[in-house]
Amino acid sequence: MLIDLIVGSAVLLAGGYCVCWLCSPALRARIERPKYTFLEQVRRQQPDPPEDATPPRRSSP
Amino acid sequence: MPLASTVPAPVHASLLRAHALAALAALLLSALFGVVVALQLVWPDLTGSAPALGWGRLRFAHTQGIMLGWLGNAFLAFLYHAVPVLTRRAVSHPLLGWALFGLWNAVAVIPGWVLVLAGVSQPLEWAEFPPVVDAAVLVALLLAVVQFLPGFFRGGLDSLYVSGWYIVGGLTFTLLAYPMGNVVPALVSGATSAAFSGLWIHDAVGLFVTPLALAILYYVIPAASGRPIYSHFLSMLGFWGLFFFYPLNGTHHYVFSVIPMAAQLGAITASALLGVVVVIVVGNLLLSLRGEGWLPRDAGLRFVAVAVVFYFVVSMQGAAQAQMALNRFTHFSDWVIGHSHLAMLGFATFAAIGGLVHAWQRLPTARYNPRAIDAAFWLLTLGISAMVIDLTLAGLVQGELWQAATPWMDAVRASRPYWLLRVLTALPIVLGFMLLGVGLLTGEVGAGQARTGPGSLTAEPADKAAAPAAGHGGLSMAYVVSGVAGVGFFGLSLLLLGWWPGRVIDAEIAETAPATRLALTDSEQRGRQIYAREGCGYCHTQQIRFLEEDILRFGAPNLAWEVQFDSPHLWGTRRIGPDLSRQAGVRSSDWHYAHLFAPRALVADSVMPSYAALFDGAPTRPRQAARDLVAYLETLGRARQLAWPEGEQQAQGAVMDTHRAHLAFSAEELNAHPARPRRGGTLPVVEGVTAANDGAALWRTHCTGCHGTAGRGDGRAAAWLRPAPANLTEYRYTRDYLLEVLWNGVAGSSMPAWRDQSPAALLALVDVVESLSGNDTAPSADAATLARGAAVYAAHCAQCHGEGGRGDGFAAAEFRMAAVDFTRQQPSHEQALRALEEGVAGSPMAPWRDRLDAGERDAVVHYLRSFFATPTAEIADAD
Repeated sequence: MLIDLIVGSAVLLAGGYCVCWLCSPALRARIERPKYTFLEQVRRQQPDPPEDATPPRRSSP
Repeated sequence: MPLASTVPAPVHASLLRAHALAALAALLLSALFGVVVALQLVWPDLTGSAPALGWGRLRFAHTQGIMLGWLGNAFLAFLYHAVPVLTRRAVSHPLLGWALFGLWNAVAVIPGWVLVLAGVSQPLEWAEFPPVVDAAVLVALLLAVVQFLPGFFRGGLDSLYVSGWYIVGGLTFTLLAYPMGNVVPALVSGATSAAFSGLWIHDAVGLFVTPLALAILYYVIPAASGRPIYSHFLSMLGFWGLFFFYPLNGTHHYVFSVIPMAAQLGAITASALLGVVVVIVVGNLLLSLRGEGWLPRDAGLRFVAVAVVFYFVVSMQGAAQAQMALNRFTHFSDWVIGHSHLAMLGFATFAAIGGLVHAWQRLPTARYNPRAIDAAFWLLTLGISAMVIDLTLAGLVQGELWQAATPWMDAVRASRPYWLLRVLTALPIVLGFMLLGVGLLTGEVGAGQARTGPGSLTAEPADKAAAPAAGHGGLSMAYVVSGVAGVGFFGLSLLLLGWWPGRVIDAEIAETAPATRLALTDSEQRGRQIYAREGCGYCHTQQIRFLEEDILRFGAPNLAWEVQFDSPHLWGTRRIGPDLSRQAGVRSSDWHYAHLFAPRALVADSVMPSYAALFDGAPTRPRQAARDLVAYLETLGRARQLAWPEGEQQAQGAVMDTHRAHLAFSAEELNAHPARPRRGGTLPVVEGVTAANDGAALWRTHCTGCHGTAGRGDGRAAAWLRPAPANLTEYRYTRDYLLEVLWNGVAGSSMPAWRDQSPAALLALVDVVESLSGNDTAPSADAATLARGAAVYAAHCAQCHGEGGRGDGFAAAEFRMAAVDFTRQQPSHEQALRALEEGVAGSPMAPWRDRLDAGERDAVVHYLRSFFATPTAEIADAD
C-alpha cells in the first residue's frame, strides 16, 4: 500500500506536470524563461562590485 | 529598499571571503581527522590510548567537520555570490552575515569539534555534535534563511531560476530536517529512534548537501559557459522529483530490520525512483555542458563537470544498494563507506569547489593561482576516484566473506590491504586540498577575473530574457502552493517512515514483550554512554538482520521489544568488528578487560583501538568506567535470554510477519550468541573431515595470546585472566575433549567457543594441542597408594569431580565452570599437585594444602590421574 502511494503520487505529479507542459506552449515558454533571465543577470553582474553593503546609485530614473 | 534589476546587486566580498577561508581551514582539518582514522585501521596503536584521539571521536569530528565545517561554509560562501545574482537584490544585511559566520564557526563547528573530542557527543550518525551545538546550528540555519531567502520571494515565481529553487528548498528543509534528525531520535527510543535517525542520514545528504550542490551546478554551468541550461522544464521536474523522493529514502539504511517491512519496501521503491529522477537531472546537466568538451577550460566549470559525473555514479550506486539483493551483500561493509565518500568528497566537494572557484575568480581583489588549481583538480579527481574504487572493492570482499560464514577476522585480515591503499589514496586528496588553498590565496590579484573571459556570455533574444513582472507585494498563490507542496513532501516522509512505523512497532511491542524486563542499572547506563561517546557503534552493530547469514553468525534477529528502551538507538550502520546484540555471557569480564586494554593481546589481527585509559595501568585494575562499560556489554541480549522460553512463545505467537517469525524463532539455540561458551552440547560433525594444513598458523593467530607460543599458558594476556589459560604442556587430552572445548569453549573461563572455525580448522588445532603435550608419564603408583588416594578422593573430591572422575559430582552442577573430567584430561603429576595445593584462582577449586597432608595429596593425585584412559569414542582424522 505504501509503495502504491509513493508510485501513484509520483506518477500523478510528474504526469500532470508533463501533460501541462505538452499542452500549453505558453507554459513551455514561461517555464524556460528563467534560464535566460538568469544569464542576463549574470552578464550584468560581471565583474562583481568589490565591496560592500552600500548599494550603487541608479544612473537614471 | 530593493535594488533595480538593471544594475548589479552588491556582493559582500568580505563575507564570501571569510566563509571561503573558514571552509578551506575546516576542509584541511576534517581531512586530517579522516586520514588519522584511516591510518588507525592499519596501525591501531598510532595514537596510543589518548581518549581525545580515539577512533570513534575522530570519526565524529571528521564527518561533522566535512558536512558543517567544510560544505556548510563553502555553500554559504557561494550563496554570497549567487543570491544577489539570482534575486537581483543584496542579501538581507552584512551584520546578519557576520552574526551567521560567527555562530556557524565559533559557536557550532569549533565547539562541536572540541566537545566530541572531549567525549561530549550523541551517537547519531551525521548528528554527532551534542545538542547544545545543534541549538547553535538551528539558530544559524534560521539566520541563513533570513539572510538569503527574502529576495527570492520578491521577484515572482516566473523568474525563479532552478538554482534559486534549490537554495530555497535546501535551506528551508534543512531547517525542518535538522531537528528531526538531531533531536527526535534522542527523544524517542528503539526502532522508532532508528527510523527517524535513518531519515536524517539521508536527509542530511538529500535535503542539505544535494540541493545546495545542485544549485551550484545549475548556476556555474550556464554562468561559466555563457549558454543557458538545456531545459529548465527538466530541471524543475528533477527539483520536485528530488524533493519528493529524497525524504522517502531514509529507511533503506535499515533494510531487513524490525522496522515494518512496508516502510522498508516503500523506502526501497523511493530509492529506485530517485535513481530515475537523477537520470533526468544528470541528463539535463550533461546536455547543458555540450560544447565544453570532456575537460572544460574554465576551472570552476571543470570541477562542476566532474561533480555531475560523480553525482550520477553515486546516485545509481545508492539506488542499487538499496535493493534487497545487493543490500544484504554490501550493507555494513566498506562499500557504504565508499558510497559516502563519493557523495560527500566526490559529488558535493567538487560542486562546492567549483562554486568557490567560480565565485572567487569574480572577486576583483582576490588572488588566484591557476596552476595550483589545475594541479588540485587532477590530484583530487585521481585520489577520490581511487579511494572510492578501493573501498567499493573492499566492501565486495567483506560481503563475500560474511556471506560465506568464514571466521569474522578473515574479513578484517582481507580488508587490510584495501585499508592501506585507502590511506595512500588520501595523500593526493590532502595534497589537492592544500593546493586548492594555495590556488585561492596566492598568485596575482585579479588573475581569476582575467581567466573568466570578459564578454563570453551568449546574447539571448530580448523577448526570451525579458525581465518578469515587478515583484509582488506579498506571497502569491504560487508561492503558497509550492511551499505547501514542499512541506507536504517532507511531512509525508515523517508520516510514512517515522510516525507510522513507530505506531506499528509500538503495537508489536505491546503484543510480544514479556511482562517484566530488567532496566539498566546506573552502572550499565553509564557504560552505555561510554559505548556511545567512544563510537563503539560505528564498528559494532547492534542489529542482527532477519537474514540467515546474520542469524547463523550472531544469533536471533533483534525484536522490537528488546531495544524498546534504547534511547537513542545504537544499531549502527557499519561492521568492522562483529555485531554485539547477543554479547551477554559470550566472554568473561576478564576477557573484556584484557581486550579493552590491549585488543591485540587476545585477537591477533584486531584493529580495535586500545582503551587503556579506562584502567589504572593494567587490565586487572579497571577503573569504574571500564567496569561500567563491561557491565553494559553484559546486558546486550540479556532481556531475550531472561524472557525465554515463555517470553519467546508469547513473542512468536504475536509476530505478524510469518517470514520474519520463521527466522526469529526457528532455532531455540539462536536465542543467545552462537559463540557463547556452553557446558556440553553437540559437537560438530567431523567424520570424513581432513584436518586443515595450517594448524600452526591457526595456533599462532588464535591461541598464543593466552596460551603462549609453546602452549605453556604464558601468553601476553595470561596474567590478566582468571582462571589462567591452561599450560597445555602439562596435560594430556582426548581428542573428543579438545574438539568439545574448541567448539563450546569453557564456560566460566575466558576460553571462547570457536564455532566460526571450520571442522577442518578445529581438527588442525586439536593436532597442534596434542603435539604440545609434555605429559606422557603414565600413572605408576602401587596399589596401596592408589587405595589411599581413592579414599581421599571419595571423601573430598567426588562431590565435584564425580565418583568416576568424570566431573559429574552432585555439587558440580551448581558451578558455572565445570569440574575437571579426569577421564578426558590428565594433568601431569606436578600440575595436579600444584592445583591441589594452591587451588585454581578464578575457579571453584580451592587450595587443599592445609587440609590434606603431603602423603594424602600425593596419593590422590596418583589416583585421579589413573582415570585417564584411551577413550573409546576417539575422534579420528580421515587419514
